[in-house]
Amino acid sequence: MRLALIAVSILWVAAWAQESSDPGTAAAIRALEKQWTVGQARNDNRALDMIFDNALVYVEYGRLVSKGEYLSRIKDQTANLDQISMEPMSVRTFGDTAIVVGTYTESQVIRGKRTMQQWRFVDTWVYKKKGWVLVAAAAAPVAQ
Amino acid sequence: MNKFVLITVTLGLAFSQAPAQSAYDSEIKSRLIALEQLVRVQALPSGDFNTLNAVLADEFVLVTFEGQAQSKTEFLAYWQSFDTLHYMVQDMIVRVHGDTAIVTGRFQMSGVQRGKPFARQGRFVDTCINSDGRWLIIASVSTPAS
Repeated sequence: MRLALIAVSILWVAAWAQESSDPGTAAAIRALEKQWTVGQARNDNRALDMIFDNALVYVEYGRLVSKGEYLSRIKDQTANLDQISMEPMSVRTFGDTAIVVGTYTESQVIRGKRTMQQWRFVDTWVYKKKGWVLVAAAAAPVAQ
Repeated sequence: MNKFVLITVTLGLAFSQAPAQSAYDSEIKSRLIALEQLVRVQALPSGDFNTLNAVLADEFVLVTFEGQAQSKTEFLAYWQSFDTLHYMVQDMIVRVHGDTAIVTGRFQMSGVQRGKPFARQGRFVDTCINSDGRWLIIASVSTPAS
């Protein structure tokens, strides 16, 4: 049953991905998603500041945090390049809006023990004067 | 002198448009909060699928509380698995970006699904787009509260 559900999910995500209307935009958004991951891993607040909208709605572990709060946390955390492992994502554009759906696996060491959790996310990007900026990001933990 | 006049006129226009933009955003925020109330507090618990069908974009994608991705069709089928449903939303915030808006808030839902009682609380984030004057929900995430 679980295998069938996974197969259906993969087929659906693949179908959704194929409907992405603009390959150039999709590539640009994927590049920004990568910049975000790398920027976070390297505590590069300057890079993140460029790609996050000031009115960003970011939900982290079920809690709403502002852009300032998120950047402060990133600045203070220990740099860890393999903390987030991105997986395939789909990008769909609607005019000046792009919706990204995908998964990532988060690796954390808690009390000396490494834990892995997969998350499924939806990110929303909007094209503004300076280019694409992230306006919302939220994820739900994938049930094991 | 001409430059001074141009700057003055430009600034004047900018400031005169600011209240109009603010009023527009305020109206959009009220409309979207009403839309969320309609969907989550009325249509979902009462099984009003005509309303859901009208308000959710055909390309709608949902990431569920359990981290599963669902299309609009899958979501509508999923909601039929609820025998009873009570839904409450609070602390909604709306951010408007032209023809795109983000709505987030906290929710509590409880009821009976396939014969089993359940209760969940968390936060949702919806992305809405203005399509020819109609606001549609294009994407939604529900995640457990921390």
